[in-house]
Amino acid sequence: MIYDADAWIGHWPFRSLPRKNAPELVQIMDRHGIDKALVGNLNALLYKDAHEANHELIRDIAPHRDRIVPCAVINPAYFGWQRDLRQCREQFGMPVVRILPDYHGYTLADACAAELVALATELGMAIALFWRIVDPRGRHPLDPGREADPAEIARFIRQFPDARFLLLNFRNVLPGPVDGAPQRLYDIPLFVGHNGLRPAREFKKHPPTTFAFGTTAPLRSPAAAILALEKARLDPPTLEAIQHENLTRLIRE
Amino acid sequence: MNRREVLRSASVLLAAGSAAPATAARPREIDLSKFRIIDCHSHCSVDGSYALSADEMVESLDLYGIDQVCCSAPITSGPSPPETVTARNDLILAAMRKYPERIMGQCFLDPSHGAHAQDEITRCVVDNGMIGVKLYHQRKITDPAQFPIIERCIDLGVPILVHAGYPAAPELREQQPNIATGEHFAEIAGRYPEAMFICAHIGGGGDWERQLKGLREAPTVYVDTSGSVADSGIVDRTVRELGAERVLFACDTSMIRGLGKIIDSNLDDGELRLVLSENFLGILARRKI
Repeated sequence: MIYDADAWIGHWPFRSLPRKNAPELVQIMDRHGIDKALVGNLNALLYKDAHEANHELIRDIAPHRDRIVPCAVINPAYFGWQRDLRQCREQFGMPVVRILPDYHGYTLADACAAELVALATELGMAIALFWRIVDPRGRHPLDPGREADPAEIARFIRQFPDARFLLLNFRNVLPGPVDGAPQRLYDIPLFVGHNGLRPAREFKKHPPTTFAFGTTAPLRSPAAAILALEKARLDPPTLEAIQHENLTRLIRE
Repeated sequence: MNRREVLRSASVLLAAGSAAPATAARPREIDLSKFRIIDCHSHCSVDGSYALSADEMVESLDLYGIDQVCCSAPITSGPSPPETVTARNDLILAAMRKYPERIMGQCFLDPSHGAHAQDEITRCVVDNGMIGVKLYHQRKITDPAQFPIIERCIDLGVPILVHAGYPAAPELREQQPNIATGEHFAEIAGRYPEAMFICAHIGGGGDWERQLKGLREAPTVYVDTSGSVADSGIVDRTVRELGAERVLFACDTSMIRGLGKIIDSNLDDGELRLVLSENFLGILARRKI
């Protein structure tokens, strides 16, 4: 079984995507042998009221709930977010909340970020943080997204020893006690961007509990992440852990 | 196990979906093992002092089912005195000698050192079998200092691989003011339509859609698919805009993303054959020496 920790549907306003709605995402998953995916709605990045995108997501994935697990995107700088987050968890059954400070006009140092982690943890949700959404070298001039400061993220997550974090689209495993801690899980799309021998070395360098499978589809091709796992020559338990077990253990559907 | 057996083995693994027998991704639609694959843009050195070592490069080629690779060792920042350029090309010549069936060489040149550049072409391309020239961003590709190099390559019938891209952010453009854009290729290919320019790494990081707009105006220029950017649809868009006859497979050491982009594409077998090797073999066939 392959479980994708990092997929989306919705409109990416800065580039035409070949596929972007729920049926098309399922086509991508089928083509690449991905059984299940955690999916957020890209529309939430720029809506004033990001929670409307969560409603859209639930509507759009309804025929595919056996394959698509919906993720909330919440803007904790927007009034009323607490009620929205509760609805995402209690009514919509979302096990993960993705936060994107650059797109919603706050920073991890702001009190609202910590408040969101606290409430999400109380609700049994994991919190997904991104190092970046797209490569800044090709960034649209109106795209507010930047590469996050790894040190700032490391400081942030250390404040919440009981919280469970998904660290998505990171280039490197953060130094320090987060490495290998079972409640912090990295997906792999940026680890595959270097030479063809690197993924195997990265997978061997860190405990098997460090990584989850992730693609960033449909922004990027999932084929690279699939190929990285295939060619890393992992032992079967490690492969199973990365393909789905670590993620299944982290989140509470 | 010979190379074909390695490729067949890789194919079986792809079909099974796993290098280990534990779990199974379902079979891929594209089976690349039936194609000859040449990576026309990468980097290595015989001893690993620059990028991958030759041994690691060949290990990677075997692992990913790539038949051959073209490598250079350009100076990517700081000064490039002639002796350093020579030393970098020596790393490639030694790698070629170690793996003559797998590694082809591209001769890195700094056009600022005109006489030395000509001597290096003679030494590396004419006398020692490198297949072409690699230019980085020491000068713009449209700079007159490049003209003697371009004219020599035309005379020899060898390709010129040019570091290229359109960094979207102004601060990134300032870091590489001489990087070749699509517009630059249109200008230089207009001056030298008989030259075989290869625009490096459409996925090298930058606004590749804008790069394609410029390359549409440079119909004699090839583009390689390499780079760490694997945006969905990048290979399909490149082929749609330029035609499969102008597109060359490459990884620039990012083998996983390089092959992933191809696997993700919707190219048919004929287009795949062109992109994966036949276009580049056609370039090599135009060599006059």
